[in-house]
Amino acid sequence: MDNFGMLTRLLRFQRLVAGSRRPEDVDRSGLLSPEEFQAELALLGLSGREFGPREYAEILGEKLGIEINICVLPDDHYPELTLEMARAGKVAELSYSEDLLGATILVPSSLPSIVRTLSVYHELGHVAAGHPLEVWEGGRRTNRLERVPRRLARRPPVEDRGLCEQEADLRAVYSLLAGSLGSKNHYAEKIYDPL
Amino acid sequence: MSETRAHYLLLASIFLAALFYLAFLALSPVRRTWSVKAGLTNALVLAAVFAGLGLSNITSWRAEVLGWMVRELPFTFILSLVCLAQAGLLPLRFGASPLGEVAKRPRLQTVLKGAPLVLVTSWLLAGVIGMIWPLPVLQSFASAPPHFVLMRWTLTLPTIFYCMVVGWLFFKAAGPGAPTLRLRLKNLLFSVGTFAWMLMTLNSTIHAPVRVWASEEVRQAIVATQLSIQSMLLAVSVLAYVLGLTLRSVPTIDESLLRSVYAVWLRARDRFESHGWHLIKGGKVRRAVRVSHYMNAAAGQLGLPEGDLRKALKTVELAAILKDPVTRTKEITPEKAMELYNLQRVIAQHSTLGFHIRWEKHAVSPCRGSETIESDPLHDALAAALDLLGHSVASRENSEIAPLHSLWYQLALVGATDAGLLDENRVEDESEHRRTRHKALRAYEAAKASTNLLTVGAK
Repeated sequence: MDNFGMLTRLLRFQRLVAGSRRPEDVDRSGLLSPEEFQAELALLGLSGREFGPREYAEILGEKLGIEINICVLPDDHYPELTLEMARAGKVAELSYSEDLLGATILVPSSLPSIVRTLSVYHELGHVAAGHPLEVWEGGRRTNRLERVPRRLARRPPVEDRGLCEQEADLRAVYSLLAGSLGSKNHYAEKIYDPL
Repeated sequence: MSETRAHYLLLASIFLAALFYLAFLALSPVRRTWSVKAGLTNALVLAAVFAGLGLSNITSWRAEVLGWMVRELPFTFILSLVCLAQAGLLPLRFGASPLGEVAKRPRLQTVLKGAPLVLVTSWLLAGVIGMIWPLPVLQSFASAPPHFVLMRWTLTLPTIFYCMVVGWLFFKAAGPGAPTLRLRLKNLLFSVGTFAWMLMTLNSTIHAPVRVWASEEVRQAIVATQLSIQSMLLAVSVLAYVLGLTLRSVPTIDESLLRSVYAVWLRARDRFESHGWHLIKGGKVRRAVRVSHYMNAAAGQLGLPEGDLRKALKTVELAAILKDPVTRTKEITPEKAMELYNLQRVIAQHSTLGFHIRWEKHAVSPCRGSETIESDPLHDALAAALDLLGHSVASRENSEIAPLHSLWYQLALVGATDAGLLDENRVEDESEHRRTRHKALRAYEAAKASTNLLTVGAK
């Protein structure tokens, strides 16, 4: 009992030293916090700067050593593709090249502008977090996941698809806010104010 | 009283002054930050320790070593805290960010993270050396055995290293990249304070070999100078830190707004609009798509600005989605639309903040225009669609009903009626907006007729 109590206390102390947060500050699923995201932006040299999805993609690609292309599909040229995406409940699609050194994000041009921006950030969020890829064989989805060798995030990627999507959603919101607010972003100020 | 004890009392008075100032700062709840509280505690402990050393007459060498350890512990503690704070790992600051420079260098974060372990181990090791081979560590002018150098350097060298790292990081954070002048000045003061601390420790490092190897006369002269330098550097360090803590940085935008209102609004908006797009592009609201061609042509005839046309088209789209039970999803209901509208109003009310949120307007156009809440058609379109469907958004304190009866609104009404979304009596009513409505109707009918003429024979 004493040993168990001591171990519990030690683990609690270790968590404190490791900087875990109060429950109310943590997203329920323990996903990325805005502070962690800001630290990633600092790593990219984007903290405190205004940026858009293309700039974020370019710098993220440079950092990870991969080429990220954002392709906006004009609906007039590819109506079937847009229809297919709409019927499948998709607004954007991320695919990697076989050697995983290239990533392409497809978004239809007819998406409302805010949804298009958030969708691109969402897909870039998957790249930054290093979320595992679903393996397709013969045009069919298998249940296998393939790890991506490069990522920006410090924490290991979550494997559950639902959590991956939630984290990418969070990243999209954080990106839009950080890119819009630039130096006025609260978290960009906090990164210069440790005491 | 010996010169050494007088020196300790002088240092105690410096910490006492800092203690009073920090206590004054802590009276204000907004300034009672974790760092002010930590500084206050340390100033209190150090003032007591130095006063104790200055007033007591310690005769045993082991007791001197113990006194030295007690004296050094608060310094070790505060340096460890600063290192952890810079690494963003301080237990007192949950969810804190590391300094920007540290975030860029993960190895540096590891080095800073290791500070408490390295510094406390060094402190313990130095204490153990002193306890095994006792020596007059607190008698600044007395000669000392050679292992005094080992004991002193065991603690001072790691301290100098960490002071250098911390001081350099504060100096970098005081650079032009910092978002406000206040933050730059604050970090510069912390940098000055840390470098003064480093010089103080360097002085202490040189003190050890002087006491071991210098001759009596030389030692007396050097140590006297060293004590004066030590007092001066400590005063500079304490003053710089205390002034730095006084400069509280007030965030430009409230964190709670970012965490709650903005994040909730963006997610709600993303869900609402993407579901709407799925329904429209998935061909589930064909009638709205059909009338949009006529509305486009009518807008040309009416000379409607592009922004107003976008509002009118969006209104018909939303009315079609909200009206048709087949297209109802849990994401798009009149209630959800009302919630989103109210959320948008909150954002718009914080005009200075709402104005900053922007996103790319054009998908393929090379011009990189951006859209804001003000330029975006959704807000007015939501109000118009809800109004058309009988869910009034106007309230006593909200006089936004006026724009709903502008030309674009009337065009939307005509289009929605033609799409079968509204009762035809809506077009015929005898309200004060009749003339505007008839103008929109005439343009719409002309556009429809000309389009039909062009498509004769098409299936």
